[in-house]
Formats: sequence, structure tokens, C-alpha cells
Amino acid sequence: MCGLVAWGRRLSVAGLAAACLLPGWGWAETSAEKSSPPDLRAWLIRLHEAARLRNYEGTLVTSDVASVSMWRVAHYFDAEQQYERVDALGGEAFTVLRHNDVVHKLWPRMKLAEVEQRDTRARFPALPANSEQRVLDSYEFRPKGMAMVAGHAADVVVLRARDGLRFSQRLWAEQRTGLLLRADVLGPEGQILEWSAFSEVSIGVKPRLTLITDRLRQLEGYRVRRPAVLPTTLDSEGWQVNALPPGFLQVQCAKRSLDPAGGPAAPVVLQAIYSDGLTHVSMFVEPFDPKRHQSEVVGSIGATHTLMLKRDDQWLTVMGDVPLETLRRFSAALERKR
Amino acid sequence: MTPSADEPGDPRAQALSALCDGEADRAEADRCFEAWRDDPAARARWHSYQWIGDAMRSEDLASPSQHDQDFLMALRARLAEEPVVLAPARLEPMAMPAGLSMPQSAAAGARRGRWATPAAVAAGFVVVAGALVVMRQGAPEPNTDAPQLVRLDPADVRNAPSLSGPVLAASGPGGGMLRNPELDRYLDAHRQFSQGPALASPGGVRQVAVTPEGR
Repeated sequence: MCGLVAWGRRLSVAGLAAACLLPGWGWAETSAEKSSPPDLRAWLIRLHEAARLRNYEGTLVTSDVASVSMWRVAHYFDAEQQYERVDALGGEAFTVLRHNDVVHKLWPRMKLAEVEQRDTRARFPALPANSEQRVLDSYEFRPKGMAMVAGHAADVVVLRARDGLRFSQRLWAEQRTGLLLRADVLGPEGQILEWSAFSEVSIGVKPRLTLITDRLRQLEGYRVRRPAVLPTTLDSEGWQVNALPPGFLQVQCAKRSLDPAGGPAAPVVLQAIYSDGLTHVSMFVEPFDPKRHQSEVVGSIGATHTLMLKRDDQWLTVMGDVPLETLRRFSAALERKR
Repeated sequence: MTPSADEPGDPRAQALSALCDGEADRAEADRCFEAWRDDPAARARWHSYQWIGDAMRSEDLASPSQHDQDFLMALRARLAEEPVVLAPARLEPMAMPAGLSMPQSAAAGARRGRWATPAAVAAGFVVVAGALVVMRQGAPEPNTDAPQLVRLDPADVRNAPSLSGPVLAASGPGGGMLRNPELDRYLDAHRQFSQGPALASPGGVRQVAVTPEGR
């Protein structure tokens, strides 16, 4: 019975979240941008809300060209708090524990913990209300029918990139709850650049919060690092950005040490992150250092492309799950303030 | 078994030759196998016959050894001029899940975590460079019993890309390579931003796939 009540509460929260956006749709339609039918946005909202609000446990498989990884995962939402645990399966032991905004990364063999305050969408209140709309501005919503994933019936949708500056994605959402079961990043010819999917998942489990809370209490003997991240603005650092690639908005800007240990000799970079609602691009700026930096470098790992180049006396690193051309446009958009 | 003789008229040599051509009868074949097992010279002869057969069937393999070495040197020079693209070697075929009903065999075949990727970036170069080193020589010398390797000039080995550890930055126009641990740090900082509300999600789990190297 408790379960049923809890279900009802969770469903109404999701419904409320969707209903809250109704006035937003009216607002969106008066703007110059085209707006998409409410059911498309509702589908995406339900996708996001399911990941936030549902209790589930399962096994995730991720793959790019180079490797396949497996993870045991758990996600709980209880009394308005979000808990998550991710354990690497095979290879080096690695665990991630999350309680709301705080994320612990643990390496048991090295007895090392890193704690970071995760940047939540709450810091950018203007975005969540229309992030689904922003996705639909840059990607076309194409339903592709139904398929089974991990024993669950799922709706398949392709978010087809509207231009060549981003990659399409194919998503499988569990039919009853909207929980994302599988996501493929697709290249320009429709080839899979990366995919990740549940190989098995139980949705609607009883929350086992001790999986997270108990583990957080077992950190005796661990070195605990808190990577220093200092929020800032490009403007205050003497930079400006002109003519960003369409669809991308800045969602984060901070200075951070590249070395997680944060030693005094570690390089400090300025990192600005841009998102189109579905994917994001990081731009790193730091003084040019001939010992570490050379001439232009391009690279790719799976869907992630990297571009590094010298700009005046600075070294730019641009990376993201986007084509190289997009990274070039980002690097060209950055310039010193006059 | 009598010690082997090397003359072409030697009946064992003829039997070996017949075996190579698929014309040996059962008894001849057995004698060849015994010779192969017991006699290094027979193994060397077998190897030579295989080589001769390949060279006869393919013009590419019949070129003099210097041809291969010249090609290697020219290729390495051309590669050095190319802008560097970091792309990991395909370590195993990417599973295309259809319906994704993950059988146990897939679980058994899963590799270690995402931190295999940075190593794979280096490995991509190691594999390429390694593949360039091991090649056939020309006509094999008799009485040797090992696969032939290209003899590289020591100077070439020194100038070749490092085959172990992080690849060092190479100077020159058009491109350089970055040390891998550095790239990992940028990747970590990039991946810590997650679009969706959950890490335990197909989209979000990549955020946690960071490397412990350098920690």
C-alpha cells in the first residue's frame, strides 16, 4: 500500500512538472522562434523527469569505438532528495555516489575520493523551463516506432540534427514511465558513434538509500580531494564570444585546476561550457606554455572531438560530442575583449 | 630417424614438396610430420617451400627486401607530415545490439572501464607503429628457422614514434601530439557537466567514466 501511495505522489509530481510548463508554451509561441507541438515537448519533459524522479536499479553498458564498459547503477528519489550510485564492473574498482548536488568519486584501490559540487540546472533558472524547446529548435523529433530494450517496451525517437553542427541521437524511452533505456549518438551517415543502454533494469524498486549513505560513511583512510572550481565570467577574464554556432548557449563558466590534486604547479584553465539542450561543448583557455603545448592538434574518441590550437599567447582547447567543424567555429568565436 | 640431408634429390625433401602441393599420400605425410617435429632443417625447408609457393602466386611477395624497407621509410616520412589525428585502435568489434537482450557472453566480453580509452589512444599509435615494424623480408635464408623481420637501421628505431608510454609531442608543421594524461584531464573537466538530471542513465553515465590516472 505504501508503494502505491508513493507511486501516486511521484506520478503527480511528474504531472505537475508538465502542467507547470503550460503557461511557458504560450510564452514560447509569442517568441520569434518556431515552437513545437506540446506533445513533443511533453515527451522530452517526461524523459527528463523520469530520470530524476523514478526509483530504478540496473546494469548499464556503454560503448564507443575503443571499449565497452559496464556499470551497476541505482537511482532513488525519496522525500525530495536524489540519490545515485554507480559502480564500475570489471577493471579498476570505481564508485560514484551522489546525494543531490554533491558527487563523490571513489577509487578504493588507491583509497582516493574526489568530492565535487555538481552544477545543477537550478543555477540557471532561465534554462530548465525551455530546455526541451531548445532541443527541438536544434533537433527534429522523429518517432520511429517501438522496440524492446532490456525486456521493456520502449518508444524509439530520433532527434535528428537540423544542421551539420551537431550529431543526431536515437533514444529509447520506456513506454510506461518514459525512462531513457538506451541512447545512440549518430554520425552524419547514421552510423553509431557511441551508444549506452541498460542491459537489465528494474523500474519502481523500493529505494535502498543505505547503498549510498552507508558507503559514504566508509571512507576511513581515504585521501579526500575537493577540486577547486571558481565560477567566473568570460567578460571578467577579458574575453568575449561572438557569433556562437546556432543553438548553443553558455551554461557554465569557471576556472579550475587541471590537476585534480590541485598542486600549486598545476595549470589553471578557464572553462566555458555551451549547450544546445542535448549536447555540450567545453572551451578551455589558458596561457600558452611551450613545454606542454605545440602546434594544432585534432582528435576524436568515439563521438567526442577535440581541437587544440594557439591563439595569440593563449592555448585553446575545444571539445565536445559535435563535429570538428563546430569546434572550429567555437574557437573562431572567442576573442580578446577590446 | 636418419639425419636430414639437404640435397634437392633427397626423398624427404621431395615428400615435403609434395605435401606442400597437396600431393602427398598418407604415409608420405606422416613421414613429413615426423621430420617437421624432429628436424629443424626440415622445418626451415617447409618454411622455404611455403614462401616460394606464396611468391609464385603473388607478385607483391616476390619483390626484393629492400623494396619493403624503402616503402616503410617513405611511409613513415609521409605520416610524419600528416596532421595528427588521435583515434584509438579498434580493440574489439563494436557490438551492434539488436534489441539489446544482453546475453551473458556480452557481459563476459566487456572490457575494463572507460579509462581503457586513454590507453587506447596511445595504443592506436602503438599498433600502427608496431605493424610497420613487422614485415616479411625477401627470399628467406636457408637454415634459419624463425620468421623473418625487417632489419631496421638503429637510427630509424630512434626516430620512430615511441612504442611505450605516453606519446611525446612531436614538433613540426601541421600537427603535434598531446601527452595522453593531459588530454584525460580536459576530458574529465568536460565530462563533469551532465545534461540530464541523472548520472545513472544512458546519457549521464559517461559523465562518470573518468580516468584515475594522474590521481
